[in-house]
Order: sequence, then C-alpha cells, then structure tokens
Amino acid sequence: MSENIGDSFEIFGGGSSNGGTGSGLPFGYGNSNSALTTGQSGPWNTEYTLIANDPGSLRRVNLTFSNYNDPHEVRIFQSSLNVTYQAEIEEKLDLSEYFHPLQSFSSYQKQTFVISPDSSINLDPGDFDTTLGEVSLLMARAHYNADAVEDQRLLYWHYNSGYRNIMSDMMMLTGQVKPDASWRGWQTLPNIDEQVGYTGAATGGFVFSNPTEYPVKLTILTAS
Amino acid sequence: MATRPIICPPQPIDGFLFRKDKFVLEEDYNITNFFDFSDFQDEVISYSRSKVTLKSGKSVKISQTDIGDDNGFVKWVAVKVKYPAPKDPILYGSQTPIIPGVPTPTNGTPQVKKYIFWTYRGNTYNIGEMMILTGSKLGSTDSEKTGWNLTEDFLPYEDGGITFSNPHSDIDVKLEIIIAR
Repeated sequence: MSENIGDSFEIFGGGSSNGGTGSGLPFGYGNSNSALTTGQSGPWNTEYTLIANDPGSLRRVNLTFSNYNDPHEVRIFQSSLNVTYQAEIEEKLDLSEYFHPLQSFSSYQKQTFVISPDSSINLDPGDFDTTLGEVSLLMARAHYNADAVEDQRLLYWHYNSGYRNIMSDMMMLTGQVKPDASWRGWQTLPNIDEQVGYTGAATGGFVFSNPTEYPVKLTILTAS
Repeated sequence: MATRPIICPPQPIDGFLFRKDKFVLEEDYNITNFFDFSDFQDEVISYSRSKVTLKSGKSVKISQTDIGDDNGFVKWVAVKVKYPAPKDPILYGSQTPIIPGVPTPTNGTPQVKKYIFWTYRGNTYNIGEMMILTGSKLGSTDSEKTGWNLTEDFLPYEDGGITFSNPHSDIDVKLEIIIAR
C-alpha cells in the first residue's frame, strides 16, 4: 500500500513548522477544514500467495490460523471417556465394559445435597446392612455455580478420617462387597464416637466439604 | 448325530453401566438414567494413556511427572482394571486341555475377587473395575495444591504417585490409565 493517503496530503514529516513538510493540511492544525479530502482513494496493491494445494493442506492452514488455540477436552460420550481435540478423539478409555451387577443382596441409593460455602456434609450411609455398610460403587457429580471460576470448582472429601482428597466435577470409586461381611468395598457408616456426650463430627464414612464461596450441588450414587 | 440343543439366552443381569453419555441402571429391561454427562467437558493441557500388566502379588507406582504441572499435580486420573475373562464355552468346549507347565485357564474371575488396592499419600483404598478421580486447576494465588500429586519421589512433594497393588496370588490384571492435566 502506498504511504500516501491522498494525492495532496501527507502526514509524515514531523517538523515543528505550521506548514509541516507536506503540501496539504496537516493533522491538528486547528482550523475547521477537513484534512482528508473527499472522493479520493489511495492505491492498493494486492498480492496472492498459494498456501494450499489440496484439501488436506487447507485443513492444516485452518488449524494454524483459525483453531490453533482450541483446547483438548475430556468428555464422556459413546460409552467412553475421551480426550478430544476439536472433532477428533485422540485417546479414549472404554467404559462400556464396566458393569456393576445388582446381586441378591445389593441395594443402592442416590442422594443430592446442596453444600453451602465453607461447610461439610456427611454422606448418608443409607441401608447397606447386608454388606455391613460397605458399597462397591460410589459415583459423584458436582454442579457448580455459573460464576465459579475454574479454581473454585472443587470439593474436598474425607474417607475414614484419612487425608483430605479432592474432587472437581465427578468421581467414581469402586470395590467389592460380600454379603454379611466387611470385604473390599468403601465403608459408608460414620464411625461416630460412642462416648456419652460426644458432640464432635463423625470420623468415618465419607465427608464432603465445600471450600468455595458458592453453594455446590452434589449428587452421589452408592450401590452395594 | 446329535443336534446341538437350543438354549434360550438368560434374562440379562440387572446392573449399572455406561450407556453412551449416561450412567444408567438396567433393571428388568427398563433403563433408568442416574447421571447425564452430555453437558460435561473439562479442558486439559496435556495427557497420557498407558497400559500396565500387574502380575499377581506385584505393585506398580504410577508417576507422571512430565504430565503434571510444575509440582507434579494432575487433574484427571482414570483407571480401568481388567480381570481374567471367562473362557469362551464354544471355543473351549466342555473340557479344557491340561498342558503340563501351563496354567490351566480359569473360568473367569469370581466377582468377589475383582479388586486390587491403590495407595496414595500413605492411605490404601480399594478399587474394583473402575476409578475416576478429578482435581481442580491450581489457583494462581492459592498456595494449596488441589490436584492429584503424581511426582517422582525426588521432587518437592515427595509423597507423590499412586501405587497399585495386586494382592491376588493366582490372577494377573491389566490396567488402562488415562492421566490428564
């Protein structure tokens, strides 16, 4: 493109004189006349460069200039846990093989909580008497406030007074149970101290805590 | 020559399973949705996928220092455990050949034996056939680490890594793992 905008107007020069170095009116001269004369246009040179010879090359160019910053995402569809990039599935973990049978002694329950900011809930142990409180499946899904930024999309969970663990959007824990026995499942019974007058928190089972400034809706499925 | 008897397929077992983008209960041919993941997506920066054979009585420590952030923390740990499957009754017929020195194939893994252990920060837990753990992106102003620590021992957080242990003496299991940050 030409450096000049009009035939009789030039904005270069930078001299301190009122007239500048151009032949026309400079910017900021302070009168009421328009600095740009109407009805004129500068020359415009267009150069073309061949950047793709075939559709495959065109896709590469598109990735370079249009979708380069698209993120990888973890999503669940087609009965798989997928790592996707745009429309491509780059890796997947097949979930279709997972099956939790309902056996003769099995039971299940689904609970939904809204956990207030800076507060905790004890998972209701439900009715898993046949497995002495153990479950072989726990799946949890959290729904966060729309205003919660990514750093605020988290919950803490404690199990049997162990270390504090973390959960973001979902969690799935599994094990195995036996009828009328403690086996290799997850114990949901809170081990409340039997001492008379004890008013502290339960120390067993699952405790979920919301450390964020927004309420969090938490849905938990437990099954034996 | 005898004709192969016609055996009607048994009624499918009721249970929980993934169906497309949902987690459902199939019970008496009825399907009840429990979780809908169609709206679920989580942005990740890096990831890895691995397959591990875990021999009987052995342990393996999963460390993905290169996938994690500067402190080795990741947002996603998804593990599937595959146990020995039942033999195909058509292929193997009614009798299994006994070959000296070669373990005789078993008829699958009993349900109560489908478990292994995983240990994180000194705590040991159970895992059946699947585990999905998620964490959050680290806050830029929050010094607390809010993911899962998969560092090697020599890095600042030396209690990193998840150790999977196969407690069984007679079965090998296979792990399929996706880790993402």
